[in-house]
Amino acid sequence: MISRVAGNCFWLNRYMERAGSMARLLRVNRAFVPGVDLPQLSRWHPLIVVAGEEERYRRHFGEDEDGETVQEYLTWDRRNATSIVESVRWARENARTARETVSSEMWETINSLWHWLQGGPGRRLYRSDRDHFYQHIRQMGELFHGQADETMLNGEPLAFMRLGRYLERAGQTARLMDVHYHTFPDEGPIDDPVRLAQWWALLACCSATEPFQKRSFGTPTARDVVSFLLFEPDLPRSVSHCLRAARHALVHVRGFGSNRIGMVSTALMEALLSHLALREGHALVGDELHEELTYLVDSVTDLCTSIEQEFFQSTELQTRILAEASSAAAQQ
Amino acid sequence: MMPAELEQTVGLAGDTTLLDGYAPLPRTYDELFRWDGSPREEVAELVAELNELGRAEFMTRQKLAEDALFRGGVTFSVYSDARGQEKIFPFDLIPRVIPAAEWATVERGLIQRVTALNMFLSDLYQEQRILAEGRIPKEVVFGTAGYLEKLRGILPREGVFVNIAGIDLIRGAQGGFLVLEDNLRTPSGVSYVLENRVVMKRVFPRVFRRSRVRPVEAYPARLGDALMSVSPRPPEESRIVVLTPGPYNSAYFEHSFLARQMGCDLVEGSDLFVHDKHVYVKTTSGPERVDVIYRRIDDDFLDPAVFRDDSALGVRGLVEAYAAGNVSLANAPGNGVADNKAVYPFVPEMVRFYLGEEPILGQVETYICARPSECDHVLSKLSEMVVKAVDGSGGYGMLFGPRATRAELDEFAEKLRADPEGYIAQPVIELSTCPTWVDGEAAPRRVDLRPFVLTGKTSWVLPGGLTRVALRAGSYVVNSSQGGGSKDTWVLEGPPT
Repeated sequence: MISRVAGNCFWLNRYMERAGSMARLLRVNRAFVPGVDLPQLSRWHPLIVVAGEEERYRRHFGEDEDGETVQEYLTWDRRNATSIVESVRWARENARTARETVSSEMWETINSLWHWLQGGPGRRLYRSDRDHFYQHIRQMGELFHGQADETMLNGEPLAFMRLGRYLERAGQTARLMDVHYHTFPDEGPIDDPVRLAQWWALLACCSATEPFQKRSFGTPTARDVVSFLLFEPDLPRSVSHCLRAARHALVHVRGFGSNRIGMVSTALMEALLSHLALREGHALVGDELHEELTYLVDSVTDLCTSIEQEFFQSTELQTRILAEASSAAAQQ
Repeated sequence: MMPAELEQTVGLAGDTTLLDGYAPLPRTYDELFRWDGSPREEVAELVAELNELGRAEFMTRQKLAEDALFRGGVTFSVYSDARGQEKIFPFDLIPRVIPAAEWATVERGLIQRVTALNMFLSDLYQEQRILAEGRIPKEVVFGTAGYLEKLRGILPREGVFVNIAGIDLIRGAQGGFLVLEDNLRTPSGVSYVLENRVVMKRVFPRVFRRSRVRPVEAYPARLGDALMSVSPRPPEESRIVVLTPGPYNSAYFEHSFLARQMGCDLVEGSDLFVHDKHVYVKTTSGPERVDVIYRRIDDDFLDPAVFRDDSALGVRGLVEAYAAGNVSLANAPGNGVADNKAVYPFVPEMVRFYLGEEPILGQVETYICARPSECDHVLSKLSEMVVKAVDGSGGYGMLFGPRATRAELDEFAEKLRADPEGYIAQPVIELSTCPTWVDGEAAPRRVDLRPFVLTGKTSWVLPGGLTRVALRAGSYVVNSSQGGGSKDTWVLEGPPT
């Protein structure tokens, strides 16, 4: 498929994943904050960190971390490249540019979500029933990903969509955990009620509350939660599951191609997965966990950069392939 | 609502009927009604059906149609900023109907005209017989933008310069179709024809079924055939792409629509590159040869090595690859010389010269301001004329005499005297009207028609075409950029044979 369009598919899904995940995060935090007695800094600040927006936020709002300001910023602010409205906008731009590749069902979903956010209805619901507002966005995200699987040919475009979706998701889960790692006690059950609430919120942010309850009994330990979110192969948002799904998509994509394109990305992907496999079963806590999560986030970023260069921005590589082919032909 | 439910609803008692009291304009041909206000014979049943619906129901369906178009992103208009000002091309549900026998003549006339235009281009970029024999003055051809001397001697495959033509037709007060303009470069609008039809069938299933309308759905496949027929390689090895300036172009929806419908890739200039006089597209499995490019970007932007070197839209080296015969461009570059307004008056002469036939379709009488006597005539009757800039399009840069103020007329006369070569003039034609839903009632609004002609080894005409309608009362300007809308065009099936 056309390199640029493959990039559109990849980014379209990253942006939709990002929008849905931000909506989930905001909704969970709205439910979590009133229930616990937390220092101001621990209420809304972590969300700004997860969004990677600390610096810009401080530039605009200084020390004001009032819940309303943060929600407004993370939902609507056009200056914030990761705000929901911006994610949806860029998702739609990518879909528009790859309109002939994206299924009509997906296009209609994303188009109506965009118009809903842009027009009155979205704003009105934001004011009158915010939980419902965030839930709607989350559901549209889920609908979108479901439609991708249900309405697209199981070919290369879908593989790039999945690649984008799962890499984004792996990064998200790692970043979410990283914001909370310092609250994890090293050993034993989590018995402090505030911390416990934070943990449950973390699980909820990863849509992992009910799955976790099905796998773990009684008061959870740090080790349980960490290994569940990192390694559980059956959890749709665990880092391990996401990376495996991403690898599957990458293999699918390379199956269509020459060996030349995607070589580096595949090597990076394999390295990351074997690294993760080695960590499995180890108790990761404290600084060690932080280091591990930082490594994961950075590796996923590197992988995405490599995919971008090899598959989407590939002029140099493509010209080289042709030049080599013609010089090989000349030699014969 | 489902179509099945729709079929059962009929006008409520007491609800006024749709077209009662519709009054055609004086001295103007109406597409559906006679001067006395009675429906034309071939649309009598359609009018009855529409009347039966009633106003309230009609308005419900109009809303339904607009929602469907908006949801599907069937929009036009440029983004004025990244926030995205998108509008649907206003769509009017009352169809414009063309009887079978009349269409048969139009169809023959269009094919004749496009054939002659193709022969003209072929001649012009080779021997220039028509100029040598003095049938068209040289200065008309060379004096305007559009002729590209650089391309002389290069012949597209099958000799076809115009694979896709959009010929704008209007109907004068007498009712006959006249050619107003030829669009031989990148005519647009066909996607609206197809989308309008989908919506129409959905909201008026019964009316539609009973009217026996000729289908338009074959267009993308026919376009694919025409493009494939000019490929330099065998079909099974050929790759066709649609080349777009990108999502910010006002016709982007159409580019993507056609690529989707034909099942080929939509590419931007940056997706293509030329290596050793062959065109390649960058794919995720490496470079792939491209054989046919249905390009929707203008000549000027096609190849920075040959035309505008600041163009970021085109592909460097493309023209060289085209000249080497390694890629086909549809339409061919250099067609602008055949569809500009200065050459238009000579098209009937082309038909006679190349085909030895009389033109089947008439066209609008045109004064060439470059000729002093005709210019004087135009200046003396300026308030009765439509004056158009030779290089203008989209309804811009023109003077509509009857609507202009004294000051505007004087100002335009100055411009005309300063640059007579830049203008042509035509008498005002009372464009035909069609009932159109405006502010809760059906009112006469002026329409034109853009049929599409596809040419590969042979020519094919899409039954109907894009009917554009001037939504403002009294307006003659149907362009979408200036308050125009569109209608579904129904060419009726002939009597069963």
